[in-house]
Amino acid sequence: MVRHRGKGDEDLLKRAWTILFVPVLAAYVIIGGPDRASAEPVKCPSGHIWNPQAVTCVLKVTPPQPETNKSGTPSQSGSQPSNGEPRKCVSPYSGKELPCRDGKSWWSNVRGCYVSLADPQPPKSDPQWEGHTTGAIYECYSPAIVGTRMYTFWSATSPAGPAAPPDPRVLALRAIATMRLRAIGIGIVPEPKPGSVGIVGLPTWMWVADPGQHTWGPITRTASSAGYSVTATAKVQRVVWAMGDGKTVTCYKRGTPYADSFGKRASPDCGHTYTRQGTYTVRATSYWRVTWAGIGQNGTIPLDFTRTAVITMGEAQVLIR
Amino acid sequence: MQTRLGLFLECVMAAVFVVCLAGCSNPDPQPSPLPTPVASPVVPSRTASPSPSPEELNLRKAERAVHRFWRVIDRLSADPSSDLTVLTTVSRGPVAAQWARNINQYRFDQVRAEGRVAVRDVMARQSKDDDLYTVTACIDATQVNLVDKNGKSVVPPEGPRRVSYDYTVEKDRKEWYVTEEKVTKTC
Repeated sequence: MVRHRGKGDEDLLKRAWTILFVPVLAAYVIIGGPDRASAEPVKCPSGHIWNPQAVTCVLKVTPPQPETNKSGTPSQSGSQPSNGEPRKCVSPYSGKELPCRDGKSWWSNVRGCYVSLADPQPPKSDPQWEGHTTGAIYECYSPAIVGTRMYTFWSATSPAGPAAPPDPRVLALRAIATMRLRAIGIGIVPEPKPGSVGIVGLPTWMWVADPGQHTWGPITRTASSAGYSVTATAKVQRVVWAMGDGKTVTCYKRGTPYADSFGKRASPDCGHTYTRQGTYTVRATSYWRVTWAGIGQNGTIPLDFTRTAVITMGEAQVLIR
Repeated sequence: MQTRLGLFLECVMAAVFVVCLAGCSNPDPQPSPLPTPVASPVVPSRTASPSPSPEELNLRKAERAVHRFWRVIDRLSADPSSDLTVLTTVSRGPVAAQWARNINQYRFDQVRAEGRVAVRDVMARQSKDDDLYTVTACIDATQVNLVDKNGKSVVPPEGPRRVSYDYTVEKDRKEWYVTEEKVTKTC
């Protein structure tokens, strides 16, 4: 059966079309349909970043990464800016020059605030540490209202600035360099020289042949810069003897030098017994712990030094023959 | 002459359109201070819905981290006396430093924010690193204004108010932080 539309039905369809389509089209244009369909890239000039609140590009902050030199040690930051930072102290907000120091605080051109070490330091569990266990928490003070804390932040090294204090870790390394620490001299029986043969099954004695400040510690030195000082103290924690037969012996004492009067007795504090004859390369590694303190911070630095010696072990019957 | 049926259909269609228009044009008119799950009507069901996997939960948490990040920025931008250290509870590294600088600039210029940024179309995906997530979101600042001490807007009339961002969100122990932000395009 074929139905023909009457005039009333046509009117109804026209009205429905008008009610639905026209407003939808208008809404699409008003709401921004074309905008959504043609997303445009948002780009800022170099050194700038988009701020969606201000609807403009703003200066980009680039917190300095911990600088390291070719030897892997932290390089000097702070009073000797090496990252091209200008020697003037300039407010990024006003563009005007500012005093480079305010009491214990120093101006950071990178952060745009006066920086000082947070005192006391918050516990390491505080979110301000950002999960780090080294470095320190610093405070930023407003250049507009000096003395008003703006925020705190974590930094691996002391933030740089034209009048910043030296990085205490750098001073600590400088202090360590003056200690002239070195590996222990190996004291061992049998002696590491031609013609000296130890007997398999008898105790081997090991000791520090040249105990002193530079091989065993403790030794304390201070390094200073720009009126700031850091004091470091170094001490050997243990000596690990790799005996060359796959065994290692850890000695927490210097060991006892062997004397003929001891006969076949074992060393009271640092010894080993070989079970097979042969030539062995013995490696003695001394592990140091350096503690340092200064410029409101403290820390530890591990160091180790190794020396080797070659000894010979033989069977008793071979020696008798 | 119009029939009763015709009138009835016209009314129904008009009502449907109005509801649709309202829903489409203003999906997030008043963002809540903190992202809250949308309450859905409780419908008795015979089968319990499967609980989300740990991976899915982490994706949702990464998305929420971006919401929290913006709620904090909204709050700090609006209150010139607030301590910006709270930024470190939602962001780290360059992002925290950047927003501290941005908001300090507001304070130096004696301007403050009114209104809130709406975070829309948020989608997280896990990156190669287990604890890093990439979150894309449309940051809608159409309801935000920066005003000076006289209440006058300092926002340029031109410029995109809705921009898409790629955020890097880091999970550290049980906490989530925005660690990188990169604007990409309008949205």
